[in-house]
Amino acid sequence: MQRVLAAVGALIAAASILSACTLGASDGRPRIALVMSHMTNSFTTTVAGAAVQEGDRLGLAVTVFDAKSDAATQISQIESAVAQGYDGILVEPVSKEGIAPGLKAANEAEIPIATIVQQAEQQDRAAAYIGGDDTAAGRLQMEKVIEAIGEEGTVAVLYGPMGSDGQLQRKAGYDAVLAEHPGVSIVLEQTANWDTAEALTVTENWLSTGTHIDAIVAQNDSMALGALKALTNASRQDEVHVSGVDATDDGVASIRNGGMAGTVSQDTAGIGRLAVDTMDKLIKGETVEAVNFTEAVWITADNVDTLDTGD
Amino acid sequence: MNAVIRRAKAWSVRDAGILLVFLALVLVLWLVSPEHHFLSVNNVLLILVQTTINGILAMGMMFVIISGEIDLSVGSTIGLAGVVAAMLAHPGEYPVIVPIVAALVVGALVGLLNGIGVAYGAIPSFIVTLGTMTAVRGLALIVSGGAPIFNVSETFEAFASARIGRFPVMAVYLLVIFLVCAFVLRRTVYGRRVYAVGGNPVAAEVSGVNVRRSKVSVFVIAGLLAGFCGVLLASRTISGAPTAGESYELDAIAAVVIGGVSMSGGRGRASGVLIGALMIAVIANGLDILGIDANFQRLVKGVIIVAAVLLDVKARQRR
Repeated sequence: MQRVLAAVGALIAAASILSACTLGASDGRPRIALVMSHMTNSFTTTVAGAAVQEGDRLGLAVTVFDAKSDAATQISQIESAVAQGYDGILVEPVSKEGIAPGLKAANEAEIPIATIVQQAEQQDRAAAYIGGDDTAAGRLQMEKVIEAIGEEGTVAVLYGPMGSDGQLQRKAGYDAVLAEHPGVSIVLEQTANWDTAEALTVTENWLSTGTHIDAIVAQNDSMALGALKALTNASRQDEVHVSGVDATDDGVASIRNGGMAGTVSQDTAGIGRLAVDTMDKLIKGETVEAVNFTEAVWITADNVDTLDTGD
Repeated sequence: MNAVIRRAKAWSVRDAGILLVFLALVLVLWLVSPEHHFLSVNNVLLILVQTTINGILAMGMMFVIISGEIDLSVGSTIGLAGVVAAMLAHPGEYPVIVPIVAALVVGALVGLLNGIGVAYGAIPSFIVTLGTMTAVRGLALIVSGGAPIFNVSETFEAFASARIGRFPVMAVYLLVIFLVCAFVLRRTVYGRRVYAVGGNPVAAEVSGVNVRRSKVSVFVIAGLLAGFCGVLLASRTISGAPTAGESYELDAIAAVVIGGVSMSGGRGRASGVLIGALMIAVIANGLDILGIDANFQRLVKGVIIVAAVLLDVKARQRR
């Protein structure tokens, strides 16, 4: 039994080394390592897919690494990319602080490294940032919600994981807008950790309390869809304005079907493309802007067909 | 042998203790909730709905833990089964039975794999199911392309959201599965063998129980029920997310432990596990109603788990 296991282990190890070699084949094109925080939702898969496509268009080989939401894994992946002599590294940090050793490793090897989607705590160690401006996205979402419900009203907010960068920045945007509209207040707030099922349960419990809500403001589309389902189950989907952020495929489909009222697009596919364009310039030794924000756009049934989904 | 069974069946001080803790929790939440809303009919039905998935998962986990094993893979199975179900549930493609059966088959297969690894590979169940937990989650992500599968038919949506009058069908599933599991454990030869295998596998083998086959069967039951939970979750959220069910195995284990099932196997009751699952749902629902931070909910849940095990140890010392 042990011998069999050892043989299987050796086989798997050999196979993984082989596949790594073949995947890294770039036929002499410059190589970019794209180190994603995870590859488990439409947002990250869209960013990565668009980046790879843009690489093909520009004659660059983009290899995607999946850090599985673990900061230590991400650092190891950056270190391997440095060791393998990649020409440039794009990273979506799992953690703002935790990415520091990875930035240092790339700096020491003088390989250009840029952050995408989320800035690092030591952003000055990176050549550039490419991504959305979460505070601006939060501002835009809350402004549009207040436009829809009026100057007097109550909102319930579904947050991402408490303390995560996206949660804090989008909330900062909300707070800034709410400060300008004293008639609108947050009456209920809870985290649902970006998760549809969790948002569904929390919203069910909110509705159960009988508290009057004019709008549910979710920090991403997955949670907005969970909230919408709870409202649909209670036949109250027409009374409450539901919105999200990210413009994921399922969120956009819901807007088309008259479910969600709106979502903020930060041009997900555009982030992937702009990241590769920027890295292309860095590899060629051109200067780039330190911060490259994609534009936040409010998507509703009226303009949903103009949206670029990166397909 | 019979003495072991009798002891397993007897209601101990501690089972009553769990019930008392649960009732005390309900009483407190009823008193502090605005307008005593906590025990309104609607909210009680809601608690049943919110207990269903974890409760059914915990029933499967109960069989495994009574056999002296553990199953960490059920959360990942929910993810894979949900993705498979959602893929087969697009409007106008297949009758609604197809995604449901497919998800059950997926669950049973994962369970079978776990059972064979544990019983015939002689690998500790913690290791086997840790492996399948990781591999099955990977499979869910591969099959779905790393994004939720949406656009399911209305019949599929109704599978979890339908109501019989005011009574949610989710709660019917929970109660039926609970009654079947309780009956199987208490009143059948098979159930008695599960206790025997967990209590003393050597004695069970000597008295003619096929220990290996019994172990495979409990993992299949856990997998099958996890597959069913996968359908329920996909139907409830009208999407099959590859990340769905993450860490659900921990809540299921928590419900089993709170419910007084011994982690060393051989002892426990389905009614206790149901109370354990209700307790977890009640904490979340009650604290949501009171507008208390979710992080605090974790703290309360953790304290209750440890307190339950502490009760368990104390009760055993008295015997």
